[in-house]
Amino acid sequence: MHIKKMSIKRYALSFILLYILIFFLSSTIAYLDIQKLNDDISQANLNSGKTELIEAIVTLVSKNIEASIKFSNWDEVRQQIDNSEHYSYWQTHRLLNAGILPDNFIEASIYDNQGKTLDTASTLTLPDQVNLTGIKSFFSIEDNTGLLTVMCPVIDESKENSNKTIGYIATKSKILEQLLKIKQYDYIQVDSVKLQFQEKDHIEVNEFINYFQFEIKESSETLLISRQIEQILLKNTSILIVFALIFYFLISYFLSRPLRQISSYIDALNSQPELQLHQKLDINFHIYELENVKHSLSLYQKKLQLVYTNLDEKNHELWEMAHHDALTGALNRRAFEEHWANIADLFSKSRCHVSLILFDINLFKSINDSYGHPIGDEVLKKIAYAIQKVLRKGEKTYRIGGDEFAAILHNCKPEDAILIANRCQMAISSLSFTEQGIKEPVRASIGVAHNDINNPASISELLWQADIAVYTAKKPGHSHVVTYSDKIKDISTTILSSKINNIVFNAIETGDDIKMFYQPIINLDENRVEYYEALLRIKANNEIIPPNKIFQLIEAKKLDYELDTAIFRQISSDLKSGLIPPKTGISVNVSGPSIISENIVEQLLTFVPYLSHYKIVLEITETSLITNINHASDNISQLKKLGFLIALDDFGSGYSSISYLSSMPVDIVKFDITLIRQLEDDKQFSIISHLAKMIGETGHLLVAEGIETEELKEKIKQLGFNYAQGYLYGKPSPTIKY
Amino acid sequence: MCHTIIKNILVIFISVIIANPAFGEIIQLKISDKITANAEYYPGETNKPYIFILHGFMQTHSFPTVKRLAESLNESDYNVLTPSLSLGISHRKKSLACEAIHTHSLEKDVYELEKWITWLEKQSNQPIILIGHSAGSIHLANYLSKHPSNKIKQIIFIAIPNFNIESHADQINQLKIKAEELVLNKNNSLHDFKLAYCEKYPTSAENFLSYLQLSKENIMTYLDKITIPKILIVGSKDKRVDQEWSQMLTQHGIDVIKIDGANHFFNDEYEFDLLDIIESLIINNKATVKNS
Repeated sequence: MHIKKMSIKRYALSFILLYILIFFLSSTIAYLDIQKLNDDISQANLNSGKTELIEAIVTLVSKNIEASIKFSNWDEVRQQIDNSEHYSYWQTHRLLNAGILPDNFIEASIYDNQGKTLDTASTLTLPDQVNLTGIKSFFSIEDNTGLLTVMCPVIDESKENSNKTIGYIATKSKILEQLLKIKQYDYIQVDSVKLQFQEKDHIEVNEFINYFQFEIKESSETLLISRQIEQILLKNTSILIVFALIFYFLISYFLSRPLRQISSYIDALNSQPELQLHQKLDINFHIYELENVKHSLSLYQKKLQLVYTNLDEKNHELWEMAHHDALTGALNRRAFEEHWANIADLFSKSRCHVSLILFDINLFKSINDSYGHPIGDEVLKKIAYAIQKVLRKGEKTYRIGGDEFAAILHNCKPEDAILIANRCQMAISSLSFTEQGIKEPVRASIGVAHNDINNPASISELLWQADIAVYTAKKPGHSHVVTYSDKIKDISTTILSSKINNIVFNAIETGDDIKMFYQPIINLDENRVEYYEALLRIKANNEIIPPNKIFQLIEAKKLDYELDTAIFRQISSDLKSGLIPPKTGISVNVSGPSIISENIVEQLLTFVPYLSHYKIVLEITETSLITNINHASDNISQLKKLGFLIALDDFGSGYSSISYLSSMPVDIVKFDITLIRQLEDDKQFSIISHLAKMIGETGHLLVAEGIETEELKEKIKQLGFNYAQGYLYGKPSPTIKY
Repeated sequence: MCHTIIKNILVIFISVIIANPAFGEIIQLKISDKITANAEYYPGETNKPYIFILHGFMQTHSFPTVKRLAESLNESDYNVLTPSLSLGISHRKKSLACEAIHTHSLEKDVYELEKWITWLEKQSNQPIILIGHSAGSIHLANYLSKHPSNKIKQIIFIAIPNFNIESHADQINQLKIKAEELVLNKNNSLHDFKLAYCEKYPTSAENFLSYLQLSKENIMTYLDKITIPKILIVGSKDKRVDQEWSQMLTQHGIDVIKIDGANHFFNDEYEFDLLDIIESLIINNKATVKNS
């Protein structure tokens, strides 16, 4: 059952009102019962009144008959019957004055034994003739006066004529006054007794009662009890109302007020839990339980305060932890993002200078791998400290990635920002890591981006601009500090193309849209396909994304390993499906970050089952291999043991150092197309032929790519190349013709 | 004083102890076609005198003085007859009021007396003693003066009055003249007269005149004609009878016995004095004057 929520005050009021209502109802019922009792008593009294009036009438009739009989026995009545000579005189002067008949008798008459009146000139209202067949008494009403007429025989007193009727008498008497005096009335209100009619001739004695109207005395006891009960009810009602008001006040004061204060206190506590509220409840309640509640609440509040204090401290610690890099003490990426969001918001509409500097430590992964993570950590600490020292007061260093740092400079002109960036570069470069055993210098690529104060919205572009700048700075041949400009804007096209980003990221994550194209590599001696190079294509919505754009993005986002893993899965699938002709093989490009990855061997194990039927060559670019040789050596050794062949890709495009080559554990050296094309130049041909001969003599197999003509084909054959690749033999294709 | 106290104690004692009152029987005697008179008869011993007691003016045999005396004498075994004069009303039971219509006359009263005494004379050969109370004495004197009888041996008058004819002579004379005129004119209608103690006495002139015969003078004449012993008993406190009149009667052969303290009705203890004297008179047939 759903009960509407109300305040205790309303509940108290409701209960009191309900109680009053019940009391009023019961009082009303009691009052109605009393009324009914009164009505019943009134009805009983009415009946009793009627009964006593009937008794009075009977008594009256009896008395009047008795008086009439006495009259009939009067000597002078017999005298008149015997001799009516002086009857008129007697009736006029004697009859009613003799005192024989009571005063209320107004008429009397004597009749002979035939019922005929002795009064020959009667002026009375009594009948002149008595009906001898029905001599009886009756009532009549004349001029609203009740009259009783009684007729009696006059009996002869002679012994010889015993009981002989010698005549009759009739009397007429007023009855009302006599009726009211004849007895003590207990129920009837005497002065209310009236006759209902003005005139009525003949009323039988037993019907006469119906001609009366009267009122009943109010029973003094009943009236007293009724009034007493009414007074009690009235008194009780008054007392009830007074007590209800007192009770309401007491509930309000002792219960409702404290509860409201507690409730308000809890509400305030709920809305402002951190505030010190216990003093507000420092009021004495007069109810023990409420005092307990208050005390408990106070204790609870104190404990809550303690919890909040601890929580604040923990939050602060957590915030510190969440916003600081535990290793370097610099602010972390989360703090950077929050701060950057604030800055972006704050300066988006202002004309203040804001510069963003991104730092990326070169080859930090190699340092980690080569010298161990503790050493890498020391490098990071020192670099963070160095950057922070250069920064101005109030400017913070953020570690936004493994080896990436950032600094936000506001109210800083571009030239000052570049100056600070260069100082940072210098501070990093001047760091000595000899204590850590690092021999090679540690450098950082620094990208700087400024907002355009004429275009406040440009601040939102600083992130990617700085990203591109640092990406550019990492490129060989570039300065270590690069400021973003429109010149390097093109790079950003790929990096920032959300469409390409989505497709590539989706391809990496799901493997969808990745399609491998295979280009044959020909065994020049046997003039057959030795193996196929697997080349990545990502095709989405019938559009093939250019590989250079893919790799720019991958390199910028450092997703090399993840992409390689996705490619491995696709090639493995192709192998499984039998796409690759038997007795051939495939070459798979492995990026620099992948070849130094701890998990690369594990990832490549997927090809092991195919090694018995296919030649599987892992192509590693010269640049990546040279820069990561120390870290890649172990992986390469393991892979070679498993049966993989290692090819040095793009030889001649970078360092192309023979000394490096000699130390590299590679099986195949793949000359870059730029070298092959230089064969057409005689001077270059000589150098390349000697280079090829020298490498071939070290036991390496040589692959020439970019062979598009028979002429060039012949040249490389002369130079001792084992394999050739190029459009002359076939373009990259998703399918392979046997 | 002491004597009075003893008498009072005796009255109370006798009233309580002697609780066996005598009861008479009602005797009805047809006087005329329409009138029947009643009497109460107390039979006694047949060898004892028969006593006839007549009530006073317009009274009945139930009048206390008469009734007590009759009952007392009957208790002494005397035969007592106490008639009620009808006064023109059959079976009259109550005394007749002055204001009632009076159709009776002295002659009719005497006629009824004759009828009753005759009836009594027929009951036995024992002597008859007449006792009249008040006006009854005058009626008996009137009767006896006109109808002497051997059987009647004694007549006792108790408080014999007169009809105030002399004391209201002027008024009575005027009424008498008026009545005589009415009679002369044969007017038999009712008129209000004054008679005895009645200030208003409706009767016919003839009837009225009949009672005017009972003047002192006539009464004395009646008494003179009575030859048997005549005794008068009077109460010293009787205000209806003047003492001179009583004394005057002694000159007409009447023995007067006065009971000191008794009134006209011989109430209370005087009832016994009266009884004692009457019994004594009957027994002795001789009266003596008793002076207390």
